[in-house]
Amino acid sequence: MSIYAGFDIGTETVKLVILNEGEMTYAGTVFAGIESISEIAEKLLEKGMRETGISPGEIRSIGGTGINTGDIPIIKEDFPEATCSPMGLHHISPEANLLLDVGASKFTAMKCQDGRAVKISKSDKCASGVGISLRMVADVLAMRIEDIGRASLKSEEAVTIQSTCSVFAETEIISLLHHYRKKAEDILMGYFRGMASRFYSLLLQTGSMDDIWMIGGVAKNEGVVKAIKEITGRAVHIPPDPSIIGALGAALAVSNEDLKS
Amino acid sequence: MTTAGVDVGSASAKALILENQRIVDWSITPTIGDSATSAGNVMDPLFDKTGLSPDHMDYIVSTGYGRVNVPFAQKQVSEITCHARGAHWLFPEVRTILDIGGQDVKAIRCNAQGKVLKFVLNDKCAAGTGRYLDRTAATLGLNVSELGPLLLKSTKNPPLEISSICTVFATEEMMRWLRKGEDPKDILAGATQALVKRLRGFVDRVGLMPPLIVTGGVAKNTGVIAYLEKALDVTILSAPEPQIIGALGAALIAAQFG
Repeated sequence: MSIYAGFDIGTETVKLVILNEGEMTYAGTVFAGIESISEIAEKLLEKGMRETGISPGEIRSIGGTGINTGDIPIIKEDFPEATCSPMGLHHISPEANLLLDVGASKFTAMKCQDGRAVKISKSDKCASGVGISLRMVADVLAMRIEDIGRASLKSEEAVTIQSTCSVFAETEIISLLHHYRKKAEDILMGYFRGMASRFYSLLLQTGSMDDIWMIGGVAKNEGVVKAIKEITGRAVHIPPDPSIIGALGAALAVSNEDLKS
Repeated sequence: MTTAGVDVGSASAKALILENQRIVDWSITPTIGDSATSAGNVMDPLFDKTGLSPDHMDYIVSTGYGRVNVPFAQKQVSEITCHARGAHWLFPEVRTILDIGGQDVKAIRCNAQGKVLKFVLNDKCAAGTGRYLDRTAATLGLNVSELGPLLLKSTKNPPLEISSICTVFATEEMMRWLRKGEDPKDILAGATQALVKRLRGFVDRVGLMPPLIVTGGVAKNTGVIAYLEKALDVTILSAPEPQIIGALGAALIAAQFG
């Protein structure tokens, strides 16, 4: 049996995929929280093995991608995100050629070919447009982050949010809400459209005119996805579980390396 | 001649009355509601204090982020021009001005006559602004006024690193240090290093020529000023009331028109 595992260590969540004979047999996500990241990873792996009935000895190797993978002893080899995300996506949707990955603290656009990135544009210096800023917006509106996407779909008159900076946008939203009496759904859709414009700039930098394949936690937000469709005028496809694509790629990458050697 | 300058900023409104090139008095109030309300809120107590009335004013100039909505002003002038004029009047030798406002940062280089030669304005990103310090204080559970004195107590060497420029990412880093049990004053020192690095970038873009004056509310933060002096290797001039330089410049410009 050839069993491999892959971790994707994000700033907010840790993702695990277990591959059995090249097929995904387990996928799980947990919040990073305040425990040590290596303990979180070990617990998640134990859970994955328990649910699939796999014993530790059966796992041939474990790959990792994301941040601080070197701090996690169970990870035997680390791979760049630029390798893992396209490889994971290609495994699920071989037709995907333009990837948009929006995570908690960065977003990346990649033009891909046969599961490999050929052009990459990344934004990781500014919180504008990333998942953390969505949490801030949800807090200001006193909503749960899981609910803001669906709530925004009711919007009929999206407002324009002038501020790019998430900190300034927060103040602007408070003013739109209390002073200008704008509806939460219109503020949300306005904010999502602003995010979508920033994603579009990055997508254009890759030079690809293809359909967009969106991955990362923010892909679960229906409002953001709708805004991207409207702003870009392109089709946006979302894999069944958009958060675990990087972990899947890490598992595939480590299995490729292991089978080679 | 009697003129007034009104500077409506994002966090506070400032007003100053000038009579024959002499400062009569000034007032500062937090910005509440729209710019017109804030402008009235800052002018009314100033009239009360000085016993003057709008009728006594020969000319009023408004400046700042809310300058277009000051109903009683005859003219609007940019913050850049007003800050340069105000700083030059107080310190004729000043060549570089760094104004740190609640929601923007300006670096201005001027000549011996107070004419603006080059400037850079950031109002798109909270990094480097008063808002960054507000967020830092809130994250560390402190009051903004406590920051300066506390900061100077940190002796950790090398200082804790806050690597992000972005305010949101930087506060996440601060929370991570808190969870690791680091002392808030040492985290604050790291956060200030990051702020000073950002401010230095603005000053470098206009080309630092001493003497340098720092204006705006953040100039009252002794800790930040000490860190900035060290980073830039200059002595920083400071006005007795650093928040009114824009309003002073506006009142001086008003005197030219009145």
